[in-house]
Amino acid sequence: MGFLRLHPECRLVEGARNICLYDCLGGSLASLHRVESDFVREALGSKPMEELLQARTPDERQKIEDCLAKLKERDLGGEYDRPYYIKTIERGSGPGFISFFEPTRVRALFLELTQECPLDCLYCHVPDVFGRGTGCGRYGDLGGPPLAPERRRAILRQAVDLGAGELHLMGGDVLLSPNWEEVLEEALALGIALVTVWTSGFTPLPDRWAGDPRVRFAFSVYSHHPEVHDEVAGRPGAHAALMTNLELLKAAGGSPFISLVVTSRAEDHWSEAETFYKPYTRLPLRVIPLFPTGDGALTPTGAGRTLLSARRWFMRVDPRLLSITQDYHTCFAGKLAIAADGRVLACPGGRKWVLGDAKTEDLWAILSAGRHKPYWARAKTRLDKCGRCEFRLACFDCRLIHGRGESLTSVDFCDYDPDRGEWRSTVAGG
Amino acid sequence: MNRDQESDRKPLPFSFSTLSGATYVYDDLSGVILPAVGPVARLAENADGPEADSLIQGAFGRYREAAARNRPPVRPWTPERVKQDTLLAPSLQVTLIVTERCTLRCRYCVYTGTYDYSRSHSGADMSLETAIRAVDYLAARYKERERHNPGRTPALGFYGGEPLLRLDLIRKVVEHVSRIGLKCSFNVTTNGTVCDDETIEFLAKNDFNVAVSLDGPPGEHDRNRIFPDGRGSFSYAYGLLAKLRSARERYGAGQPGQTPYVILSCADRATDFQVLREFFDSDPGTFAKSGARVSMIYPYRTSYYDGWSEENLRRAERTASAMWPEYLEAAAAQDRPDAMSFTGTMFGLPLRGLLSSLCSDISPMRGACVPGSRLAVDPAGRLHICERVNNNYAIGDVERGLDLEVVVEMQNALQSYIQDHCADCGVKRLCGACFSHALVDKPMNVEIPADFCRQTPKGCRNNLGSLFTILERNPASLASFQSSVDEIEQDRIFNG
Repeated sequence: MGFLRLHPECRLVEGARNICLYDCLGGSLASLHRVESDFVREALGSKPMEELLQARTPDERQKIEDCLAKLKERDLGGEYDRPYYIKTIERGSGPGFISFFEPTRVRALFLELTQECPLDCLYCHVPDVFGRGTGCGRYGDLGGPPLAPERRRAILRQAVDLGAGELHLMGGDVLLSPNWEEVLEEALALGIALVTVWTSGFTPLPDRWAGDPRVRFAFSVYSHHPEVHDEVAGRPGAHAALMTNLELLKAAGGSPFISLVVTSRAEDHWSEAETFYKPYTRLPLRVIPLFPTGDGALTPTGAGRTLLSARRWFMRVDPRLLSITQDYHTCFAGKLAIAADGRVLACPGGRKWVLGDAKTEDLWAILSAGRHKPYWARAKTRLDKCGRCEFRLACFDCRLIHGRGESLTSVDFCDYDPDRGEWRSTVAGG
Repeated sequence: MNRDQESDRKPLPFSFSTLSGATYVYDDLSGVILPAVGPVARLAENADGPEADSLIQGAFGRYREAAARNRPPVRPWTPERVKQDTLLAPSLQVTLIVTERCTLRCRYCVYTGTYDYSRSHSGADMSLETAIRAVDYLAARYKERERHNPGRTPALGFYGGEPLLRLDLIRKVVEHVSRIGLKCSFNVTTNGTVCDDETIEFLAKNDFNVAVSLDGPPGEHDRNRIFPDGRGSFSYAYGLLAKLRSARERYGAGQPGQTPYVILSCADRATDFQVLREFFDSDPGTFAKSGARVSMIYPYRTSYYDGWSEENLRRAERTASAMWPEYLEAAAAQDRPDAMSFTGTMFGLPLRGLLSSLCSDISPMRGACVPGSRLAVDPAGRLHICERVNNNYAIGDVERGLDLEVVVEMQNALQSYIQDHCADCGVKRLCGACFSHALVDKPMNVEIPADFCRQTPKGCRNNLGSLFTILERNPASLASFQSSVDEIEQDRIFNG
């Protein structure tokens, strides 16, 4: 046996105990456990594999040989007659990348148009003052009078000047906002390349925008079983209305963004749900595990742990993002949100994360003052144990869910211990 | 032209070797480098043989597909696109060529008349009115740009000839900058011959970043950097450095641990690099924290080397080649291969640039910046791409600003030329050709010198071999090649 080398598409990320291999072409992860990690580390340090294996016990040798076989099978690594240097695929500089992310400018703007919604989802952040009983009143915050249309137009213009190529229209249900199409048309006229319209799925979609490639409708789905979806959505008939909208989009050639929010009601069949909704979009489904625990907090499901290691659907490997995620937060970075009342937020759901007031301040002035920095710079590498975790560059981190809308640094949702390379037992509830 | 219309001519991968004897194959289309093993070894031996296409597809196909997915299409330039690019460019720098007068007559100077398309020495001075207009233009662009690029401080540079001949003008410009409330950094490039104590105090007090032209010890420096009467200027340039350090200490300005100057060394083919190394490395107190940035004089479209002896023409290459193995050994053994020793800077900086290019995509403009993202203003108030580009191509003036139509014409001319001439070049990703290489005489005439295109692939192959020689033995040095620039940027963005 010669020298072990990983192939260019494979990047090795070290944790405190274990190693994770990131496949930058296939987008997957391969986690190596202690015996395998120790061996791979030494082997990549240019020691001959035969020599390293001789120092192992038979049991360890078997595990290592199984691991090497899997690496070869997945074409992530190979054996060479000498310690060649293998340069991994990197995307971190150059003209294409600079346009993707620049730490002093905005990549995407989230604009809240309304807090009206026909649904009453178990977890949603529609405020309690509308008479809806929600599980998350802490997210609800009406704020002051709404942003005036002229000021909203000026803010949109500023976001475009700052480089924003994406706009997300947020609610409630955006389609219930009387002027949402006006805002959409303004944004497209300003040159924004993609406008995502977040809607409940219950309100009928207009035909006009169904097939427009510049417009993407976004839905949250809870199950493919109508009764389960309706229960989580808090409205009878919600699933039927959703399917009507999805069929409309499919017929028009549209490709919606679908979030499969997995609550405890769907934990046993979420995989079938994913398969059910896949034909309705060309985009990957985003699967989010979510249900409340006994203390009212939200936490990833117990199934999250299994899924984390088995399918890594809670994580993503994007070679363009690898260089960003070392230093910037995968979700905050490059984004600003404007609440309906004009408050500028680091995140559309993070009502406590206020950066300024769009009624009286310009976006570029807020960035110039650096108020975005603590959020954008909150990379996983700076979050407690995450900095020691081998999954840190692929683990999608929603501070709203994981920090419960308040904490920028809490990681107590996660039951992986990077220092031991082990999963703890998970708190389940709901 | 869009992605679908790019040429059918595809570059061939090429092989390179390291000092350990390992062979690799570089594929420019994907940016991937593979060890020459198995099918890749056959490709290394038969890169243009009948099996080449299938070997290339087998080795690099999936990487090429992934790279193509991420590559933006080649699009024609428009005024709107130029404006957006210049407003969004990270840096904003304006360089004022405050005079074309100079106290020296350096033998290799581009204004000696031995360079095609460049002007000769002249006595032109910039008027105060023109300088003020240029600063006001910078301030207006900064104000407009802040809405697109907040938090970035612009830079105002002074250039010549010898800019400190116009200290009077520079003082007034600095006062004007303060008066209008423009926050910017100041740079000046000087030969050191007119730096009296008052000048040095002024530079230190206003926290100027000073680039001092110093080509090495007296024998090397005075070989080329001479007064009109033939005297050397070493004592002036070298003597300036200690004075700048003292003045900086008095004012407590600048970054801690940094010297108030950088050293710019020009080398020609007769330069003895071993002598330079002994000089710069023997005086760490003066040079350790600044390093010496060595650049070869522009070798294209010039009669500078006409009539030179073979010995002189080969000395630089011979002495640098002799230093390479020692540098590679040292770099492979330490964490900072480009640390501020002379060889670390001389050899390490190009390798850093190479690595950055390997991580980048193929630019349809190669190394050219968008005209207008940085500007040089000549004494007559005309705007130019930078101080290195010949002045036959003004892109505006301080009265009317940037002429977008001219810029669009230049961008599209260079882009078309590159699309036509570079389709099967195997180092497009690594090539740093820019407008300083490409612009010749009027009318709009773009041509990259044939010598440049012959030498660049060879240089890239050699540098790849050197980079991989280091990395084979010290993979950890990769992080240091990439890190220090990122660290400075991180610090500025999140702590500045």
